[in-house]
Amino acid sequence: MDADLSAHLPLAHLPLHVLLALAEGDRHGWAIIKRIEELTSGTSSPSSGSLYLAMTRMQERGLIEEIPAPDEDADARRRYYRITGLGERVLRAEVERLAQIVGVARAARVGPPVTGTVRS
Amino acid sequence: MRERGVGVTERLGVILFRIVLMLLPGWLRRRAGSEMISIFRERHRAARGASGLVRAWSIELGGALATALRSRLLAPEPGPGTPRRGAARRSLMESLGQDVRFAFRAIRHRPLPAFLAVVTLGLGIAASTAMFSVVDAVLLRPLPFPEPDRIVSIYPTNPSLRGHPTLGAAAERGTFSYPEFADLRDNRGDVLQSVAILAYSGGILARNDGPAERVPMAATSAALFTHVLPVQPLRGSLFTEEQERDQAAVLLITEGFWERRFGRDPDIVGRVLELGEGMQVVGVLPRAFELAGWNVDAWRLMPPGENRGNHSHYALGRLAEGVTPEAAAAALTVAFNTAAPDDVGHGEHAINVFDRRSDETRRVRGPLMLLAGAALVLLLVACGNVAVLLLGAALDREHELSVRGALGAGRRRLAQQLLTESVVLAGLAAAVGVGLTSLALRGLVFLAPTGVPRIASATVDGRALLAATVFAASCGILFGLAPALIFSRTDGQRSLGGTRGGSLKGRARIQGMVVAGELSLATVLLVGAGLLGRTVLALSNVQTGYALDELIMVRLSIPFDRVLAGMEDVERQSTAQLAYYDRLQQEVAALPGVSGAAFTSNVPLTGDMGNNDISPEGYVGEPLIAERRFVSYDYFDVMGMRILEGRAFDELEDQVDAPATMVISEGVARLAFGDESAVGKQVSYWGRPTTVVGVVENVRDESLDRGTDLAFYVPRRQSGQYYGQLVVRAGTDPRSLVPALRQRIQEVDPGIAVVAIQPMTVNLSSELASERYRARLVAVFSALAAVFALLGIYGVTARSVASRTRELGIRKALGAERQSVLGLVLKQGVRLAVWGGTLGFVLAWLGSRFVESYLFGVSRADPVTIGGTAFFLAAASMLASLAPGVRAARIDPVEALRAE
Repeated sequence: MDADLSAHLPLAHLPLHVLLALAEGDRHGWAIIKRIEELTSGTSSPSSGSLYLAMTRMQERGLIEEIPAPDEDADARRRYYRITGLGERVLRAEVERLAQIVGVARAARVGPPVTGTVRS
Repeated sequence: MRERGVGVTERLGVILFRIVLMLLPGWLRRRAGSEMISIFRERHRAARGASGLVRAWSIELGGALATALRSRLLAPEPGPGTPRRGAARRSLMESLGQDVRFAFRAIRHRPLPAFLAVVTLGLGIAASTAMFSVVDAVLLRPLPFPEPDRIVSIYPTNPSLRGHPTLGAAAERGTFSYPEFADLRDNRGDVLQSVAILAYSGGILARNDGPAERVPMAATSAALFTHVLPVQPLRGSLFTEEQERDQAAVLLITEGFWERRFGRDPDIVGRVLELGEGMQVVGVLPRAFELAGWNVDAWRLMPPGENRGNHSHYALGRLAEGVTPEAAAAALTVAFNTAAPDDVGHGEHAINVFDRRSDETRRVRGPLMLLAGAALVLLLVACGNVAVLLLGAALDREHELSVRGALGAGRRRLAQQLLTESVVLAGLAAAVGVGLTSLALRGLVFLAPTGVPRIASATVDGRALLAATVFAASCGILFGLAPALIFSRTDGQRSLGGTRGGSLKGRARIQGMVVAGELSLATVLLVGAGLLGRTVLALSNVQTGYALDELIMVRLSIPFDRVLAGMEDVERQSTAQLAYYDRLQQEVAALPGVSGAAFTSNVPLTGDMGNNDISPEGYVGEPLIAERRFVSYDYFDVMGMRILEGRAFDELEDQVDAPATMVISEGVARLAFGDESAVGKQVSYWGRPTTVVGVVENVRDESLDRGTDLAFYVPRRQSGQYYGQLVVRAGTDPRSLVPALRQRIQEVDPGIAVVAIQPMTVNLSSELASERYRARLVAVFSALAAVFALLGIYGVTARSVASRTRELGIRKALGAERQSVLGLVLKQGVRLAVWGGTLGFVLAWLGSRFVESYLFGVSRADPVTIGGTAFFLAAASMLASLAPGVRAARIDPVEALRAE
């Protein structure tokens, strides 16, 4: 694993989901919240407060960046965000880390039975 | 930015959200504030229903609060790269941000007073908002039909009943017979655009999978749904004029019934339901079609009737454009009386026309306004409490503020900071209030007695919430401003010098006055709760005159269409009917644990009414209208009613061809025959001369608060009137007998639909439901108000002990006993209670005029209530000042003098 990536790991629940949402495409704040709701089947709906607190820190760490709004969006108050190259690498590293944990857990017969193939 | 087309709740939410946003650190607020607001809006708009809204608000408001805490406590301000303005040009916004941070710090530094202020105000806001939301739903919102102001209730008056103890209500709001309604309908001229008749009806729906079901129905005119209360059917169509003309057996069912009984079967329209006769469903009415007092499962068309004496029909109409109810009443009275056939005439009967909404809410308006008033008083007390807390905090912090003043903070700057603190507190209180309001509203609706129109549709009213919040916020601003003003008059030097002089005393006096004011309002609520509570007690202790605790009422709907099917001969039908009833009674009476069962036309405490003109022999005077009861011969025995003179009926009298006999109440006997014996006298009803065989004690069977003093009882077979209603006397616990009774009745005939089987004590508690509701709510409000006020006493005495440490120390050094120091402090608390209590009793006396009509068995100057409240105030105020008193008594004179 990349050494400078490990400083960003592990990712907390919210930053991880923000990165997952932005990995699919550029989004504004409300769209990120809606996507996180979908990703977690509605169990998690971050408030705007915690979202922006988290995203501000993620911006400082260079994981995401703000981009100009696409032309079709008339609502000028909306700000759009994009995942950075670093963000993508951190996300990948985090997912690998999680997969590893899942693999270990499965080997110890913890959690649901394996239904597909898992690479560890 | 101008917000157009934005709902009140959303606007209010955004205001609250903005207030909470002020708690965020400046860097985060500047960076994300406006986006957070737009997300708040998006989430608000995406929310579905009241619970969705509550969820959305709590996520956003709670999230912002949590973020404020987290970002301040855990996250340091981001480093360079964050756009910041130079410190040299501090804008007002920035200093405001600093104030908010200060306010936040002040709250963290002194969490208890802030917590108390927030919770107190939050409770006050929640109680008053929830109460006003109910008022809005029930009293203010227009009826859910087009042009609701034109919908009216129409009644015939009956002037001869004015002032009658039990029938007085019918003087202004009588009922029509069908021919009378037809007179009205056909001669209404141009004041009424349309009019519809309504009457209760019902049917038995047989079921394959269980006992038969009673279906409450109403009969009406086709015009009800097309003209008077226009509605779009959910399925199928409404009644047509052709169907009305042909007296078609057609049915409109309600959405609730469709769902409950038929699982929203899409093929319901066209189905024939066996309800005595086969009735075809032509349509489904949407749930939104709600008519107070007519909570039925199905509507049918009213068949025309000939009987001018059968007064059981109501009328609803729609006024023609521009016609007032008064003008319509005048025109209809003339039309009604000229339309009557000469040989009948409508006599003194006039027509009353009332606005429908105020008509259907007339019984709940007074009580609701009373409760809303109580909630408002609670909000006032809460504001007073916050005032005391803020004033106290200002006194405590005088020193701190003086230091800051001396260090160069401008007066305006300090005032601005105090203001910010109170606004932040008010904002937090509003957030707490928003959360609690929906809970409080749910409680209010859940506990409400039945028969409050549309209360279930009450939702948190944005305007009320806004008003309460603004009120609370201005309260905060006012009392935040007071210390600011006081401070600006203070000589910083002197304050720093440490001599706490006269000006402090003046401010403590203001605080004392506010606490006394709070106490006086709490006293008003306490007295109100006491009076209403004693009313409930008095009503539940009323001697009814029968064995209420041992009785069970049984109401049945018997499928006589089936039982008597095929019998053409009326005589045979009547014999079969009586045999059926006899068997039912025997089966029920034979059940173990049952000591007797009797039929009656009117079950006590259910609202059953029935009355007649009677003419006792030799009686001259006002026409006598008495309650009429058709009963089986053993009724008095089963009920446990005392025969005062003569005898009860015997079995031979309960026969169709028996000589006419009756039992009269003590009230009738006294009025008609004075001191003479009533036994053997003649009394006529329905033109039948009848011999009185006994006099029975007056009972309270119509309602608890009025005796049914004028009543007569006739064996039911003599009257030829039969009702499927029994009173059953249980030897043991009536409650445990209910399931067995139900089963036995199903065994007799599974086609019987049980309308109700319940212990009579249940009737009693539903009689008391409204009184209990009122008493409970006012008790909760008064308890909260009392706690708030006592917190005030505690705060004032504690602060005074703290500021008088030196003086108390000197007193002790000069030889004052512990007890006398304790007494000094307690006296201070009690003095507040005496002032507040005295003012409170005066206010309560003035205010109790409004509750007087809801009282029973207590006068508004009830000595027990007033004495109890006074004792409570004295004891509680002593208790509240006890802890500060003990602290004062323990002061070590040496320490105290050294500390100053």
